[in-house]
Amino acid sequence: MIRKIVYGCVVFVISGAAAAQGAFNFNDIPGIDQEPTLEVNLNSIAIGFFIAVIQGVDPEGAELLRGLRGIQLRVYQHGENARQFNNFINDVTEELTGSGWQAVVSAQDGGSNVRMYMQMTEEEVSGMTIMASDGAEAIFMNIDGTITAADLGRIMALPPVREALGAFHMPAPVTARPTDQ
Amino acid sequence: MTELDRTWAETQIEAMADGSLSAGARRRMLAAMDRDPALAARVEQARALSRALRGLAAVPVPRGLWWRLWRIPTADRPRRNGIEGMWVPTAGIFATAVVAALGINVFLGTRGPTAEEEAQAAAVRDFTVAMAYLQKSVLMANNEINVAVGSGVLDVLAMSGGMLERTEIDGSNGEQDND
Repeated sequence: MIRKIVYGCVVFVISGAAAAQGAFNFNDIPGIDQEPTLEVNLNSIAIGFFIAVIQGVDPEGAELLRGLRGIQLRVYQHGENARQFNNFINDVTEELTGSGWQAVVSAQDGGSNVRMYMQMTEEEVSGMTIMASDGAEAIFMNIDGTITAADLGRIMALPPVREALGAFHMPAPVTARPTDQ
Repeated sequence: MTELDRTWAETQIEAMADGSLSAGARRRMLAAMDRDPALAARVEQARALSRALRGLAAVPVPRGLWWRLWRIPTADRPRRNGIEGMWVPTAGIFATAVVAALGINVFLGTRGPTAEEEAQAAAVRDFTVAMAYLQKSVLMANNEINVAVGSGVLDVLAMSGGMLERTEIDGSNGEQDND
């Protein structure tokens, strides 16, 4: 059975904007004893270096990045743990909703499970959490800071990032076994 | 060729290969190469390496190699500027990011990148990897996103088109079953 739920991005005021950001420890998935196969930690210092690069090609784009505080990415291979990852995604979804985060995308069918949530302060995004599972790997990402997806899209279009993205080939995930689903 | 000439020439191989020698030094180097075929061969090797490195951005790294490289952790990488827990720069993406962020001259030049340039390249690399996975997540939800969703997400989706299409082609292992 396929369930597809899409929410509009409704803006309302959330107090304590940064409180929930970082509350989810994607390094420790309950019931799963495995290390992430890919890990990225961009803290404010690293973002400062990134801004310095962007400053050279697009000063206005660099300004968009100044509200960005951090990006954490964890990618896990499913292996035998697809169900646990999906359970974790569902649990975190409940916590996010309970903390006032806005669902931008919540999509689930037999093979994939994608949740994108934003934390809004007035009309400003103050954080994004992305969780996605496609039967082969699980992706967890926190983007902490006042930056919108549109801003990220603009940054992605700038030469250093665009060229690096163009040369980047996503590592092929290990195909999950049918029984995992 | 004197020992002094030989010692000097040894230090000029990379500069000769990338064309950064002054006119006078270049003439002196050419004369040394005429007298020493082994030296000429080493210059040619350095040129070949430079050409190969220039082609990094255009020639995809084999997928199997990517995957093996991704698995190399940075347990022994010294912490610097508070950046920790990152994965070792994979050969291809790191080279690409350095070239993209800092220019080919730093990568091929006689000096290595400074600590700041290296940190900038690492930041570009990590941002790129994060955005690639954001794009992948958007692709997973592609069919579910509609006009009701905030336009920012759609903008990201629009931005991601080319890379995602290629990833889809590269990553297709056959079954993309949709009902």
